[in-house]
Amino acid sequence: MTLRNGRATRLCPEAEAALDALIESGWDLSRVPEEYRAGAETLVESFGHACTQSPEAPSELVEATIRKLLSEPMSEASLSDASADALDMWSLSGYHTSSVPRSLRAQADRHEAFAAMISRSVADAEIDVSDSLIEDTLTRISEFEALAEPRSFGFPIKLRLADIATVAAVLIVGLSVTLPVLSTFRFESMRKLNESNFAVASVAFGSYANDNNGSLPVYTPSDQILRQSADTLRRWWMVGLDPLQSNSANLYTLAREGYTSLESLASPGNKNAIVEASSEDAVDWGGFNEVSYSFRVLQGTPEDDRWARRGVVTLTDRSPVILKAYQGLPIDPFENSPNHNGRGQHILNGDGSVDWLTSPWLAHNDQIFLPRFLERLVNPGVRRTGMMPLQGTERPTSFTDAFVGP
Amino acid sequence: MPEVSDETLVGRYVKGDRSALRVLMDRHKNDLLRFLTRLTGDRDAAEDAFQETFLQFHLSARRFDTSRRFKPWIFTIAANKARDAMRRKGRRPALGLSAPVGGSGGGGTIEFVDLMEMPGPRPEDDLDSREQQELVAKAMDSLSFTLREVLLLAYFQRLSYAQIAEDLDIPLGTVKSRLHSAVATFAKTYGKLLEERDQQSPKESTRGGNPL
Repeated sequence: MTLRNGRATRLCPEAEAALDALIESGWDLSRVPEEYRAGAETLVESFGHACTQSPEAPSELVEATIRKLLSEPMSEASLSDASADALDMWSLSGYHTSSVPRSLRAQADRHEAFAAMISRSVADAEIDVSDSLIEDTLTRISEFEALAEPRSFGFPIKLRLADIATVAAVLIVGLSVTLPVLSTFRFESMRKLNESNFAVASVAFGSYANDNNGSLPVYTPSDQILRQSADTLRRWWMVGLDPLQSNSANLYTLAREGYTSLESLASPGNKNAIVEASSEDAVDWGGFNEVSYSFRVLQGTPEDDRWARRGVVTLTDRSPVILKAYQGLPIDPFENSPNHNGRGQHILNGDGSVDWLTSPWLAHNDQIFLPRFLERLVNPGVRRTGMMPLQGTERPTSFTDAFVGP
Repeated sequence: MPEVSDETLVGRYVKGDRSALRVLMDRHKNDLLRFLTRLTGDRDAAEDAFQETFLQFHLSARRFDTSRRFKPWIFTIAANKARDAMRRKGRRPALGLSAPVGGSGGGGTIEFVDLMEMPGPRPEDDLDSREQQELVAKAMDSLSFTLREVLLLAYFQRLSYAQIAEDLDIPLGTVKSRLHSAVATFAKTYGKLLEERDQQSPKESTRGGNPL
């Protein structure tokens, strides 16, 4: 930490800087700036060696430091009470000595004399601003302005890049807050409207049952016709193609016979849903996409009033399974109805109550969109997708098996 | 025709009159650069701070409080920019911005200075202005940046303690303690320099203990 210059020993620049910092900190290492602390600690340690007379004590360093300390003007100086009071009063009076109390005025005059001397030394210093400094300064301001200049983007309002960044940031923050809120509002609104459709359908089912010996709606109540069609292995997914086979034609009966309207059988979540009949003699929806709700697949003949109880699922939001199976696509037995963007589905129980399910699986491992024999192929504890061997001819395995189709 | 005030020129600049800046610069350029040079003790650092000061003026002109005077405001900006320039050049301000100076916690002894007992500027001094400037410059250079800063703002700019505290963002008590220490240290150093000068040329001076 020392340099030899001939016979004289002095501190190296790093040690001098550390010593300066140590002095200015009032010999408090914790107040020494970080960059000088290591050097200051070494110095303090070295001073300790001087006290212990250790043979390893770097005497040259200590001597050089002490020499420097002695040569430095004392930094710990302050004004006497009289001078300090005079300075404070002089400042408080707006630096007018005539306003300072008489007892302190001589001291204030002294401050004025020092202040005048310092001011003169500043004002009279032979330091003048060059033209180039002025020009450089103005150039810097111009360059800065150019960077901040509003830019034209082809429309009347000119924006600076900073403005655009700010607006973009505000929009992003705003959208990130409002979009989820709006999405939630929209989802809840559609869910409520959908629930009201199920309530209307519940009344319609009840009215139809009252007029038809307690049975669920069917395209034709004729046993003879039904038995004939049963012989031909009816496919319930023949939507819009054969009302004798199509399961949706059974549900359509409610609208066709005036128990409800097509509008109330149109889910707000189905953008292809129709609210008016395609023709006066229409007996079914035109295709899968138009059907909003899936109706209980009948076991074969019109059912008696045993369905009218809680736990028997009569109507659900449209099945996510049937269309995929019809198109030969893999299905997911855990997928919810597309009417609510896969968040869940409503079901109408036989007793007229409406439930909201967030999974197609009922409590007793009954999947509402699949017949029981297929449910047995699927372990509800293992999520998997795959081809399901649906043919469109499946029926509920038992009266209590929930299974709906278009 | 009365000269347009600095404050009016700031208003004109804010409204788009670019020539107002040139007028303001011409009025204050020399004082400002001298102040910065004395404050930093470094011409390069002073010129850097000079440019930064007017750039800051350009950025802050809209926020200028027209009830205040322009000159103290621009000099305070300059003091802050000088500190930044010193930092960039690797010359640290002596202490942190809010650290008090002298008398607290240092463990060192404090020497109290009474200005009435100090040799100082007196009519009988035969110093020419250049010589006095050199002595003042030397005494100023012996101060740390923080002491120099507060001394110049009070003694040269005549800012009140409250203004200094607000502009430097330090407690008012710190302003007082720093200024007391700055004046005392400056006066003591200046006195020593005068004594040294007397010793070198005893015939030239009969300076004694009767100040002023």
